[in-house]
Amino acid sequence: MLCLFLLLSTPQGGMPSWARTVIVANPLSAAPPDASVWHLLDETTVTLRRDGKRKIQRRLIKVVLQEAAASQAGLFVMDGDIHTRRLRRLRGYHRAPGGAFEKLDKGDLITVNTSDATSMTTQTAGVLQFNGVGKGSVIVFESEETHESLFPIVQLPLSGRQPVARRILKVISEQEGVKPIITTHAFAEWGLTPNRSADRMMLDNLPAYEPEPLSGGMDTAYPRVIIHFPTADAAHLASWDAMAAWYYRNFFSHAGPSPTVTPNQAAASTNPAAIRDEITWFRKHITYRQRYLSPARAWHPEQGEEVMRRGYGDCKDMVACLAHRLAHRKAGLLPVLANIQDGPRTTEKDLPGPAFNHLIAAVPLTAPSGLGAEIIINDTPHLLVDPTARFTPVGLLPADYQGRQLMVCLPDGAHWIAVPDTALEQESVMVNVSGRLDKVYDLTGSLEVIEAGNALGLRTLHHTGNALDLLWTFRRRYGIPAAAQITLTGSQLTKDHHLRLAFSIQWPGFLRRDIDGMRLNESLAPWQIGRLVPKDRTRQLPLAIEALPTITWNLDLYADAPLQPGIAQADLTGELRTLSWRAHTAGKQLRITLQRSGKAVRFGRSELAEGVARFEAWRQQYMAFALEGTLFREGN
Amino acid sequence: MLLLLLSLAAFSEVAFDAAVTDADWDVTAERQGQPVDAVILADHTVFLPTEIKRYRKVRILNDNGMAAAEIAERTRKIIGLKGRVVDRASGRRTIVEKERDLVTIQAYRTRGERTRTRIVVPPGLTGDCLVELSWRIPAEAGLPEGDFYRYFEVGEPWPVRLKTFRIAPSMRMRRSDFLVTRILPKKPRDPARFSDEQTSNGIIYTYRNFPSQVRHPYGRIWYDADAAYVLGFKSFPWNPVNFYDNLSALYLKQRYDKWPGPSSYKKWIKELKREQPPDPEARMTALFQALRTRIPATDLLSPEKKAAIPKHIKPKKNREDHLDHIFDLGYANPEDLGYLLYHAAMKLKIPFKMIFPSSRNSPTFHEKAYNPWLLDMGMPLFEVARGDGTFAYFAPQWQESKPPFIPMVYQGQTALRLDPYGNWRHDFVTLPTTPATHHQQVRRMTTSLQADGAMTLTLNDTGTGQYDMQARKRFFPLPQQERNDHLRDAWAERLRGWTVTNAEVTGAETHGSPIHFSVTATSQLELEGDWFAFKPFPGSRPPLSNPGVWPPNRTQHIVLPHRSVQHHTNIITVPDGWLLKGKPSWAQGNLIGEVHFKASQTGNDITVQRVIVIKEHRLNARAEPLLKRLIAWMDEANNQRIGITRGGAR
Repeated sequence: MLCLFLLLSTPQGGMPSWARTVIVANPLSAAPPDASVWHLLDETTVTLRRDGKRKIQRRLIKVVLQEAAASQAGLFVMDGDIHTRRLRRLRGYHRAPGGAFEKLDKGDLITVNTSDATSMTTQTAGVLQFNGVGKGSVIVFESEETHESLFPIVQLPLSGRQPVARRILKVISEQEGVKPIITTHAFAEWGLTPNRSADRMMLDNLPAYEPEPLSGGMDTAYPRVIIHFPTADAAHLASWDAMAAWYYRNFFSHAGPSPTVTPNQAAASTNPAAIRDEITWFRKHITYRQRYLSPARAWHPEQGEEVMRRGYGDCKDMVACLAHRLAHRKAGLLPVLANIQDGPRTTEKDLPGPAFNHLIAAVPLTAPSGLGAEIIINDTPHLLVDPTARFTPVGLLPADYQGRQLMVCLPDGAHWIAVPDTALEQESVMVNVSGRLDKVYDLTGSLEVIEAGNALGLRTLHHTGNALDLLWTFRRRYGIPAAAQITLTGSQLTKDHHLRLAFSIQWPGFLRRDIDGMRLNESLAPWQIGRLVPKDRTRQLPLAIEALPTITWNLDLYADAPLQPGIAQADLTGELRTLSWRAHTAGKQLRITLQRSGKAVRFGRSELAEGVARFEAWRQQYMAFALEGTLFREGN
Repeated sequence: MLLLLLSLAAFSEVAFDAAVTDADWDVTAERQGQPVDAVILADHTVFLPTEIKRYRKVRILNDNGMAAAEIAERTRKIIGLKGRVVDRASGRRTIVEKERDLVTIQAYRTRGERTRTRIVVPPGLTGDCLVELSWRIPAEAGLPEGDFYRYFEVGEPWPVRLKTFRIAPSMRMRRSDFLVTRILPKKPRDPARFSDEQTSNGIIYTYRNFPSQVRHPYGRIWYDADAAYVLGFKSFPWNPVNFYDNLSALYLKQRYDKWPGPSSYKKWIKELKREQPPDPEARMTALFQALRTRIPATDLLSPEKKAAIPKHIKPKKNREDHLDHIFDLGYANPEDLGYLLYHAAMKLKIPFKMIFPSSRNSPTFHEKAYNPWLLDMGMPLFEVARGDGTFAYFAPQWQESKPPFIPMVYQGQTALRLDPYGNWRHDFVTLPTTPATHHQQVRRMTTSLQADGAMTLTLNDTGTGQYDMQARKRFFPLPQQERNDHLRDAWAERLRGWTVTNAEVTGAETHGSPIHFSVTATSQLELEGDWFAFKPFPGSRPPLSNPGVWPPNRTQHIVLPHRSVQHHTNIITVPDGWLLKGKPSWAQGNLIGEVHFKASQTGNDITVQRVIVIKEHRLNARAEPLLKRLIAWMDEANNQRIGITRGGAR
């Protein structure tokens, strides 16, 4: 009794014993400097159960080092899906600095659905929260949940915004003969050398990862661990061929029996004109909207016929609908797994897994078409078609497929393709401004925007939205100041798929006071480019610089008094970006052409120094030009 | 009228197999040359005792307009869903099927509560189609289950051709509620039309030709003279003649019943009585300060006190016991602070009146609507009359304030005033608005610039009014070291290209003195040419941000956060012979505000001053161009750099 009393009266009294040991072993004096919260232990145990479900157990101990971080530190966040995730156990313990002790359990979890304007889903986010957390608080969470999914794969991040004293990962297989495969991502780049055994991994003193600009998404930037369980029902993950063949079967078994073509006859071919007709039909009848009421829906398409009735669906639903409609033409298609936007850059060298975020189609053609997105599969020409990109001309893919790999799913295997640049729609923007600058440099005149591709997103809006949407999108993209009055006077889609918008403008302060002259508005040319990392810090995250489609501003202005540019002509050619500048004055007439463009470039952790140096070189070059170049002074 | 009867008849028995009329396809009247994504052709609501019946007919004109046809009923059931979608070009008719198209998701779950949301996305929508839907939701005496008050907006992001609200005669007769449901319309302005009819089927409020309604920056829909809504609320069953007499005597007064207080309270009052200044305002100020010291607000507790808050405070049987308990606990929530100040002021016999204000964050309060819930009854202010006919106001819930003080959300608003010394008699008042000079932000900077481009900057900030309050709210609850760390982090973020070497917060540990920030930072100018440029006020933020979107044809009033004066000075000491380039000074202004930028050199000192004044904070919609112009000037001044020529070269 006395022992028990003594135990409870210690600062760790009431905490689970595993936590007590860790807390005692980590004195606060050892905390990393500058940390606001210190994770003493972050332990995950992943167990493959006999029934095939994965059990995930987590233990987390946090110590709050700064008052300002207290409210965040009191949270434990769990994501899940009401159909496939069962929370078995959840406990939270909090010892406040004043000694008060509090316990929370499963019932205190607040769960919120994550549906939004474009998706209906059963996915939820759960939060367990302690109040009254302050500097010196010790918070312990332990959880146990089971998951089931189509893929017996578990991905775990190593750490996040807080430093971790010890990170432990345990992997257990309760199924006989199933040996888990543990792979690591980005460990070498981050110099991580875990203490490893067959089923356990331990890392000490993991630093906090600060977010940095242009890092290209969390997934690729931070180290993580991927655990595969090669179970009997995971035969579809044995190889990419197995995965592709599985997805081929899976796709057609859900997309529904086609009236005239069975899946194995999918090779029945068609011609680009017929595909164009179908995509034209999609433009009018099918809109993009997700309806994920079970997690498996991320992989199973809706029946093609039902998608036609609903008139909406996500990428695979739209491909299913296309398959259904092509079947009426006695034609077929092949499902193609892809990645766009922030999806991972999956290649055939990676371990097979569900590492895709998009589905498109490869439609077999009766004869070669000469179109950019045509590919050859087993000697047969196929056209790549993305039905979600309803307004991209048939025969091309949107520009964001640049540098991506696609996996065509054949009945018996995978066919990988690197998207060639010739398959991509070219994007560019040209803005022509003409008008009169008055005494205080207010501009009155007209402005014309010519968008090639969907460079600013205007083309999609031209089809789906209204004139105001076009106007606001243009304003936002170029940060046109509120005081500028812009009215859309016309919009027209040209034969070569360029969108031409005409505006009348009244733009107060088109030139703005700066230093001893008047500066070209920032909408056209930024005055400054910020540093990639503060001067006194070293960049940590990989660098992913996006492509900049060619943007050309042509200005033809008549000013109240003659204006002289700081620099009449400049051509900056960096490895990342290029800029060309021509400013010509004749009396009160001022003609300016400013063109900028840039390539997409990526620098991994090992090439960071070079990437940062190249960015800095461009920044210096640009700043030196911009300081003088875009500054105008009155005079002849 | 005939049209109305027809549409109502259609509603009672929706004919989903009838042909779509030409009048439904033709929306030229609603378009009027304006961009329109959809038109609400008809929207009917019927308030019944146990349910609300809904019907909606929408014409969709492009993909973006499809949102007008979706239903999301949060937390409520959708009963008897029926509907159809007709594509215009093909004539294709898709029937809405409850089992297939009604999606239920679990929206929210806690220990005691599980709520579901129902979503309907009608099938077969196209960019040119017509949608009709009818459904019902459960209600209690006209209002959705569990609602105390709810407003039904007439305006939508799309033009509305017809919207009706029918109050069935049976609605209120369900049972003898203590509170009765009142449903009141706010009438629209031209070109919209409104009618109000008494029929055997109940009262019908009809709105026609209501233009699309959009959110404007610096706007409040409540201040939009064109906005219209139907407000449903449960109110006291009193006669209008003595409604507010009853509200004060029967409802509010009893909330302020006598509270003897525990012995610790009596002792505290006794001490306060000893040092009573003669002037009522001074007495109330002293009490405000004493209460703040004795019972801090929960959100302004020191870390130690906050950590000691017990998790579960057992609810007390009555308010007296509850107040006893919190007085001994030593901290209170905003509502309880109001009670505590009231009782203490009564005990000390300080003459004051109570103010129950309406908020600019809620629909406009109308005396004659008899809707007391639009008054913030849990947040009373205390008014003390001065000898000169003016008043001092006290807001015990805002402990970070320096009295006299009225929270911004109540300034210029209508309020119910009660006299607790005068038998709780009531009248209505409009609360005053504080002038610009009340909210001043003063920043004094010095910068020394060395010949090699090395710069050292010191920055000193103080503020009054809202500026000091915001700073106090943020810094008061932190320990001193963290205050400094927090300030350093904030400025390290704002001063890109600079290294913050020191940051110190003073005055945040007590309520008596203004908060003062001081920051020191260093940087290195890159000197290449014979002149260079830098921002004289790095990290500065103008008082108004620059919203990206300003929808056209504004009718909504403009509501800025508050009037203010922002005053920045930087004295830059340069090496011998270095000169300010050009004459960068300028000033601009209009009815709303002023921007001054002034730079001059005396010897080695270049002095740059920037003053931004916001003179008005509630404006007519017609002032929008002036506001945009002012924001452009602020932006211009905030981005303006000065140039310095080295060694006398020009």
